[in-house]
Amino acid sequence: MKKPRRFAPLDLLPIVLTAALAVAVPLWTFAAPAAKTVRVTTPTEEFTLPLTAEGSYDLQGHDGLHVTLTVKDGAATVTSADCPDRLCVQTGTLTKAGQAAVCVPAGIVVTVEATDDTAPDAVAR
Amino acid sequence: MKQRSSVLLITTVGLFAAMAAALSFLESLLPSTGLPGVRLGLANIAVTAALWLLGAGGGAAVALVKVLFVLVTRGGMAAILSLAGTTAAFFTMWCLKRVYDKGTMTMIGVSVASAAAHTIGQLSVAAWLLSAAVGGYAPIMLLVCIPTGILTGCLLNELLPRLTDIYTRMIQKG
Repeated sequence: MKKPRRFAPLDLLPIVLTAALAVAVPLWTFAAPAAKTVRVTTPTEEFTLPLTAEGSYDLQGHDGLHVTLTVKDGAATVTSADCPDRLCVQTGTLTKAGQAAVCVPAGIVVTVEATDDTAPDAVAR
Repeated sequence: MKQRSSVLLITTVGLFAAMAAALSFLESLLPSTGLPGVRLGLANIAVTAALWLLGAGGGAAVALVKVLFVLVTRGGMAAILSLAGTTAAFFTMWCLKRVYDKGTMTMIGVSVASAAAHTIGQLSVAAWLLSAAVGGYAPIMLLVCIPTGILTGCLLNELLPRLTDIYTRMIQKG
């Protein structure tokens, strides 16, 4: 049997590249301008709210799933969801343009955007 | 002789496909990390071993069974994402196999690269089908690829020479 090789210096290349890519993506987000509006997409409707429209919104998704979106202090947060993994809730508060909370089982996407026309389109990543 | 070796190929593909399904199931028993798409990727060990031992055709057959297993157990959307990730990972491994064969990279590098390719493939299709917003999950999913890739890479570093040894002996016996 050939002796197993356990490590080679070139193994570091994919590790470093992956780490670099993981760091590069959030830097993109940090450089984004502050969000001014929140765009909500559900299986049945799509609408945009200004982040000054404070309050809680009940969103209905696929399979009878409900997601609650709360707009407060110029930020949008998914505060509760019926789905099993609740990743959209764990995403936390959205403040920078291009950030998003996605509930895949319910088919609901919440993104915050800078409506200022001069701002870069941070959503098209 | 030719017929016997194709029987050996078919049975080995079946064996690895069963292993991929069993490892997927085993992994589903582990408690969820609460993070999207963060999994060990144990089933990929079977796909990788098949690609290394049986070549592109055998490896692709095992990968296809793995995707079908996802379709049956987790539904259409999960299967499409799995297909996207598996295709990207498979192509990456197929390219890196030459580097491995030259001895300049071990399975640690191959596994991390294929795990990252899996993530990128999966997220690209999710971004296309669902929303570009899933890109927000990219950093955490990519970071997790490093430890999980190293882990499966270490396992494969030990496994592959042994499996190759067994398989070559079986071919020689005819």
